[in-house]
Amino acid sequence: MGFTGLALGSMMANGAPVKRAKAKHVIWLFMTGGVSQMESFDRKPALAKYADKSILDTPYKEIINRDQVKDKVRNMSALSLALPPKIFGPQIGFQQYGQNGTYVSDWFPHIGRMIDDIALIRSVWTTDNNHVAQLQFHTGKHRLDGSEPSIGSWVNYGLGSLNNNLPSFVVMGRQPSDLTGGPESHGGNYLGPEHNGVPLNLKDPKNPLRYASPGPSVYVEEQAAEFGLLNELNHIAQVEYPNDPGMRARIRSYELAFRMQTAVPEAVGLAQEPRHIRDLYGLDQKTTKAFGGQCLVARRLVERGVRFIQIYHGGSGAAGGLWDGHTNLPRGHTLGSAQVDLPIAGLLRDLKQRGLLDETLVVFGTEFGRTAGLDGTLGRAHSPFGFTCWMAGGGIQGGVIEGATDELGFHAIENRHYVTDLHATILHQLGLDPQALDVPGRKRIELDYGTPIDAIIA
Amino acid sequence: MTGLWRILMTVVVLTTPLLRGNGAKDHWAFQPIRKPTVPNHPSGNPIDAFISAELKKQGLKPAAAAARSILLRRIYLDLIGLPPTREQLHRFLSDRTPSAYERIVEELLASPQYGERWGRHWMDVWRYSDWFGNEGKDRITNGLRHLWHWRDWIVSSLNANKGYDRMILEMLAGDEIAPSDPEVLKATGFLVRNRYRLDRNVPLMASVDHVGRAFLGLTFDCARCHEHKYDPISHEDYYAFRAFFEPMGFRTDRLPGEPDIVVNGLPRVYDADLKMATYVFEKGDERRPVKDNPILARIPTFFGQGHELTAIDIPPEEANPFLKDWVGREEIQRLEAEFKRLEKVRQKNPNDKLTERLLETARTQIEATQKIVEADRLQLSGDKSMARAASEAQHAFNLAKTRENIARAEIKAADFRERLKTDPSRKAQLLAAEKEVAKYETELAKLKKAKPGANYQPLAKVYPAKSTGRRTALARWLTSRDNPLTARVAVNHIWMRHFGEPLVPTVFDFGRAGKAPTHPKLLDWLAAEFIDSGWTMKHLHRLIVTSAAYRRTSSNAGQTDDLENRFLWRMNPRRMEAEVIRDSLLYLAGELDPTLGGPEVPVKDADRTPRRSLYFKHSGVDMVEMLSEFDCASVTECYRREESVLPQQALTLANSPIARRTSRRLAARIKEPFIESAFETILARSPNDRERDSCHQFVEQQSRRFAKKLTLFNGGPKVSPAPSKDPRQRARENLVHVLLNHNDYVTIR
Repeated sequence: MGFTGLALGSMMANGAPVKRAKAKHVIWLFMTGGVSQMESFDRKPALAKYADKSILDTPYKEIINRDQVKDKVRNMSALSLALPPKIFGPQIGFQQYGQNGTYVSDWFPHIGRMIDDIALIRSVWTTDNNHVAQLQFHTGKHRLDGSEPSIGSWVNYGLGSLNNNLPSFVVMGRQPSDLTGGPESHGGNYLGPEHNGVPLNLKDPKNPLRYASPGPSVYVEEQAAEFGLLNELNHIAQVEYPNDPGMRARIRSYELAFRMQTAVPEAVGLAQEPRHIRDLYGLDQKTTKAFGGQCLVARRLVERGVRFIQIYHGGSGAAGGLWDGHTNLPRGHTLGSAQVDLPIAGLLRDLKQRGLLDETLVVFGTEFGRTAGLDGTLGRAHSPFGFTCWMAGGGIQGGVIEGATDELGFHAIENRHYVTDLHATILHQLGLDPQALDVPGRKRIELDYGTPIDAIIA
Repeated sequence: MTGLWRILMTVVVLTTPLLRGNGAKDHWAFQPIRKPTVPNHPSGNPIDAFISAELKKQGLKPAAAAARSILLRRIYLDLIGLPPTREQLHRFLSDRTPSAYERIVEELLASPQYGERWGRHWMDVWRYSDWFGNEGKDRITNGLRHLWHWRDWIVSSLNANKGYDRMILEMLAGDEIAPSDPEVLKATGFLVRNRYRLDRNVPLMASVDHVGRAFLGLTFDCARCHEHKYDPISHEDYYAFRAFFEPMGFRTDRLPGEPDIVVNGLPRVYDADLKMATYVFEKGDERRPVKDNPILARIPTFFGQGHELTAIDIPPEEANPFLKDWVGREEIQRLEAEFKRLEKVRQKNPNDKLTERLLETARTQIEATQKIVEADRLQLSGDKSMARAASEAQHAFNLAKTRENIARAEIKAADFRERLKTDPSRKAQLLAAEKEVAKYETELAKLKKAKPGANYQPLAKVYPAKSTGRRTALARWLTSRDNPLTARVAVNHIWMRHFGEPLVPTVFDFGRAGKAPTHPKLLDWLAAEFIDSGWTMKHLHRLIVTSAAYRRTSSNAGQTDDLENRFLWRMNPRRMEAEVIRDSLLYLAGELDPTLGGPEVPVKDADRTPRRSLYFKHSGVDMVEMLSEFDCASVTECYRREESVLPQQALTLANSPIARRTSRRLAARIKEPFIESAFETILARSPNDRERDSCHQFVEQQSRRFAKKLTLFNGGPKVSPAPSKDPRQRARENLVHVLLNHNDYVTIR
């Protein structure tokens, strides 16, 4: 077995030659728990019209029994496939934005103002009707069908790094709960641990990376001398054991580690960021501070060559999380959107003004959408049948809308896209061929690879 | 479709069955295992005879023997996963008797740490996982609690040198071959770990797939949706194999001394549904079973008839655990303790109505339990005389329990009524509570009217009195002398863990898509020898580690041919496994807790609990971070460990509290001459002149450095003990720390 993991910091790539790459970096924003498509980016006037009626009493009664319900979805846990029939009217108003007058809900006004840079994909679907869909959104595979590396790991595997001092796949925010796959959502799986996302903890900005510092009892000069002696001793040992790839790799890994000790805290340090940038991300407001900080760090990581930055939002100890609006959806979505709307818009604006948006693909995703029918008290149940995600930058067309759901926002009916189509689009924009990223001995089916969404590619 | 494409497709379609059928007959791994003749060789170890013959053929010269000190470290790490102490090193180096090394081997194989070290290897192959995923109140999603009993069974079976055939039999069918022996039942954790609460297909698929991969080196999973593309496993064969496991259910038995199975218990497999039918799933889709063709349990037809299937009687006290003396006794003791506790509560609150009710419930429950236990026992011999009395006692208990429920609901209602006076939002809760009172009152009225019948409800679930014997039949076939795969696959796993490289590179695929062995005769000889020795692993270890091939240096200095060492002219250097890295650090610091076995240790305690690494909780979601950084086993599957080299690993050994702490503690233990002793302790060898000079200079310079004004690191973990206040000692701590980061610390040379 060869030595794996030398790729960090190297330009080594396993993918096809990168010819037509339009993007170099990905910022992946994941809303844990299921954002309501009909109250964010997919306005449905029929919901207001038929509010409180049973779906069966509307012209759209066939919706509840569409084939997808029985056929495409795999029922998990105690959740019933019987969909709540009583229509729950929209809980928020909409405004029109951009050149095409696209409707975006009042929960996302800042993102609304950026709509001309955004491609909405209103026809995403998945097959898990419970929260392991979080894992599925990242790996493209239903838990019961096996496990795959996460999209960030594939990118890392396919492209290698652009920076010798930083990990090239970085994760921030609260990871999905254990029940829904936990760290597997940024796991390298059979690609090996060197392709796992490396978690950064911004709550302790001096120590964002595990063991990036030996602790306050050690002197910087003392440690530097240790690294010096180590290097010397390893080289002496090479005389007796020449041509040892493990030894060579280890010597290099120590050189990298030494540099990471300063490079990582430097990359996440926001002290030097000017006032107008802090305001752009809402760094000094209580509601937006945490997520805004992660978005700003994401931009700084992009500037430093990090390939894939994954930010989770809304996770809690429970399987669902902030966006999981079974009960009192307005409350959860009001809070969630207040935390992310301004920072995400700020991130897009900031990338744009620095000329980085062209080479940075920003993805806004969530595990599934929500039902048209009422669930619990003032809430909506899970709907894997059709929901909205969006992309911006990185060679994606702005101001376009791909696909559509039915009149009640229930099922994706036009240009349906399984979650791996998002993955394939990302890989395509990075200049990688999803099918070429195969690993011998690992069986994948067509759905696992996905197909790039041509309609949104500039 | 273009013409050429059509021709190609036709060829593929036509030849596929050919490949599967006829081609398979000639495939090396499907041939019976015959012991090949050992080539002439002076050493007397057949392993060397086979390897030398091959080296000669290739025109390669074997490398020199490893230095004795390096060999000692190798064999310690290899067999027990801990390095030799400096004293052990010196004793060995000064023992010049010819059998000095063999004596060490025997000593190590006899040590209980052998079971821990090799237990972890087999835990990789057998997909050890503790339970994980708990939804609500003890609703475990994956596996069951207390799977550590299986881990302890693995370790003790290895230490006892139990035959591999017996181990397979116990893991697959312990409940059938020894239904009353908890020591054997523990082994079935192998199957219990596949339990998945939300979908019964998951454990069945996992059992098929991983019995296939782990024991047979066959990728059954390829045949789940269609005919296997390479191997003689048809789509139907897959489901016939699944049928061995189809009746399987999982449960937790009580263990003596602990009535609460959340605290401790024995997770085990049993045949739960003897009539459960198996169907082929069209394209592998469980929503499309082919119901007009039920499939019977059998091995793939290509491999013959398999072992005969006989149903097995389960002793009555295993079907109904309350027939065991101690179960009833402990249950009654538990209830009596509860009764006493309630009496004390009553003394403090003599007029509390609920307490009265609870006491009545407890009293009637004790009586009912006593009567039912007795009635159960009499019924065993056909005597039904106690049944009515038991039924009456049970009825009294049900009445008491319902009255207790009414009292509880009334208290709740009264509470909301009181709150409603100041808080109008309590209305709904009050109504709900009043509804509950009414519900229990109706229930009580019904119970009062009903007469206790002639029969009573059992105290706990009663399990089937028979088991299908399917898993026993499967295990017997797997371990029969005629099975061409089991021994070859096992021997390959063991070989790989001694030599760093397997003889068959595709360790879980011995099928036609796998790779051929580098030394086919050696593999067959080892497999036959393994079976002949009664499948004992220690015999195999002994043979392997006493071979000259195993004792060679891992250096490739001066060599130009076969650099990848395909023909084993030298030893392969290996990186220590995650557990060995951590355990050795603790061991060197004198901290390692040698306690064997027991419940899994929570991951959050990893930094402050000096237990061996295999005892930490290890599951789909619980993994000690340091271990996962160094490629510890994925519980999904890990037939072979990765050996990654990552900067995060460097940071861990450079900066983690465990590395710093070990350096400081160890430096305090190392005797003069310091540099010499430090090398011997950590790398099990002396420094050469250059190393000695470099280290000497480092200690001098570093000692002086501390007199200057220096910058402390900002943030990071606080580590105790603090660095020494004596600059010279601190410099030595640094030197020790450097050696713990040395390539040859994490490398098994």
